[in-house]
Amino acid sequence: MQVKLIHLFPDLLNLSGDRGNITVLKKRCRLRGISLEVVPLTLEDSISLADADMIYLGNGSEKDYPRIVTKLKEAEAELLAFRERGGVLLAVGNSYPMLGTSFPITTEEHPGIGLMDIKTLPSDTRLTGNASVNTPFGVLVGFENHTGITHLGASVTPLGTMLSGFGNNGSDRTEGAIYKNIFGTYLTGPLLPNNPELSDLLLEKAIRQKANHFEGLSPLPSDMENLAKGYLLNYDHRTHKR
Amino acid sequence: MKRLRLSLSILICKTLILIGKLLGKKGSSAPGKFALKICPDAMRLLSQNVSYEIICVLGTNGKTTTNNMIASLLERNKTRVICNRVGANMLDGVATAFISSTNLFGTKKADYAVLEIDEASAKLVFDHITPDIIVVTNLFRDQMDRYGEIEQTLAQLKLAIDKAPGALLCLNADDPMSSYFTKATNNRTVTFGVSEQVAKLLSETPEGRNCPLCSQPLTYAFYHYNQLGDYACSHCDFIRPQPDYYAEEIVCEPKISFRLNGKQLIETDIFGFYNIYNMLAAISVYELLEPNTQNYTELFGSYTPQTARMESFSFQKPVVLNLAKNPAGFNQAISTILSDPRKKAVVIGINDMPSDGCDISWLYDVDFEALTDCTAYGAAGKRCHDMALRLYYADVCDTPQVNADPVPLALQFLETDCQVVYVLVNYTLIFSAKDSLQKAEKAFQKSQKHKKKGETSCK
Repeated sequence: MQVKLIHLFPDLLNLSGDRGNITVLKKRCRLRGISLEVVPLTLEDSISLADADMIYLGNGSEKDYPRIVTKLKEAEAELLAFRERGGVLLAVGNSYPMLGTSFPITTEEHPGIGLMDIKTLPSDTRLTGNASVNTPFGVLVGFENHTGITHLGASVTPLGTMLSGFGNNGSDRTEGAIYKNIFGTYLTGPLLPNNPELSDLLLEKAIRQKANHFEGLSPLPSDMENLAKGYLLNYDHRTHKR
Repeated sequence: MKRLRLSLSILICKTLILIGKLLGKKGSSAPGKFALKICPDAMRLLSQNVSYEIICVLGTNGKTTTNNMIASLLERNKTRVICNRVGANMLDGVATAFISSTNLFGTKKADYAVLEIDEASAKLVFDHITPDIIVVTNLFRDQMDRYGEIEQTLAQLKLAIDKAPGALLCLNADDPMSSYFTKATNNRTVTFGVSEQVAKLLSETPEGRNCPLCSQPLTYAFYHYNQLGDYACSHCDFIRPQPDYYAEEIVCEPKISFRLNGKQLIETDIFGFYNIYNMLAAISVYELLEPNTQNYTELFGSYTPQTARMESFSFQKPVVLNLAKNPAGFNQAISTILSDPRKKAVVIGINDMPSDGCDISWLYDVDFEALTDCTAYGAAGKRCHDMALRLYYADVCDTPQVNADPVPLALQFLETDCQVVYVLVNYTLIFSAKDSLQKAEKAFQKSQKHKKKGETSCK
């Protein structure tokens, strides 16, 4: 089995140990005899998604997003085709609001790449800290650090419901967004090392979209992950203590 | 009236320092906080007692080392130096340093003040004191959730430096984020750097690889680690300045020696490539005050590193404790460990208290992948399980030993087939780790003595 992952702009989108997410996907594939080909692309490369199964967009500095959006807009048709055929995309941190119709760059509204119906507004408060989210595929943990306030349109499902932390907007207790196989979340940490359920869900979806009869991934032990996750689940946000 | 308030604040601050000492406290910011409440002018008034320069050391890594190197160079000439040696480097800590070195009337003279200052606090501190020399060691990614992105750090420092337009800046020429201030301010500057390619180091964290003036990528003739090297902007005229103080003929195996400005060969007992920058920074300040100093080998020979910078403890084998608190620091520590030919075991301790940074995602920016072939791996600290997972995903160890306290792991690892145990921990773990290692060391020495006695009486 072969899976191809396009890692977009790792030279810019690397604020939150993002290469950790790639490392996790690689190792979880390797342990199951699946070969994961990772193709890093820079702003200078042309974006070809013809045989791509997955795309990863890491967390970046606000100042770089105008250039990134311009570049992705050039590949708009390819990205939409990728989404429609069930390609899997994960965007974390500041790259998540960029997936929507509009998002703020240093308080100014900027058009997004329109892969899902979400809209993000600027705010004065930084929503930051450890967070945990209840989702249909398990409890996810991570670290959030954003000023954007995101609201989801009717066609989009939230990733889950906050157990602790702020989430999309600090008010409706939702976190992240899913539309088809496009996943966006404010959670970094990095996200995947502590959340093997999500890593495996993404990998399964990436394989299924090209191999219908795929019987599913073989399980891997997750004791270490559960212990690490336990720390954040028992974390007291007021005292910074467990 | 002002003097009375000052004396009162000094009295209270000194009392608090004394109480803190009796309670065995290491930090020293609370007394300064009270002093500034009582007499908001305290630092301004006390800084007038400094006869010569006020030197402030800023930067992500190497602040404490550089600061203490400068202070120890100056103190050799029997000068009186005010220094926040323990590293309390926010406003209150700097106030404590001033008060603890004055008399009750606040009139005691000093020759110099040498102060390390937290990057984010500098703009507050410079409302109270006006530095004559500002050193910027380097600007790396650190504690993201506190400082925001590196651009924000640059903006904060700019605000601070703008409050001291007369200060001379000593900048790291090899760091584009530091040398940016040669362009971004009108201050006079001197720079220092390493002017040759040194043996290949670990792969890098690319943050800061873009031009701080125009955001376009920087190209490198060579680089040392992180964004440090010989760079030029691909777009504008931003380029590494020719350093005023430069090192060549570098040797670090792991003790450092280098030639300064093509003349003097400096040989030290100090470990770690990054310390060349700390020494160059100290030299560039000292040369301003004592030009053409010839005996740096001797001067640095009397410098003792502060707590837990590759500090060795003696057991049947040595345990080496080192502070590392961000990717740049960790990668440098790992390089230093790899340059040690002995068989080693390692313990990595990670806490996530507010002064460590609650976001530990940077663990994945550290090249733990390079740390292969150790006899044992330990993960410690409040985030021990995250650290264990990091080592697992680095493919260096499938099942690291886990313990919230790094010291029991280190002592346990002495029993493995290693010749040295390295313990790398971040900020809030360092003091407790040092304390328990010292205690364990004493107990070990005592047991050795008993053993020896036992042996002789048997004969």
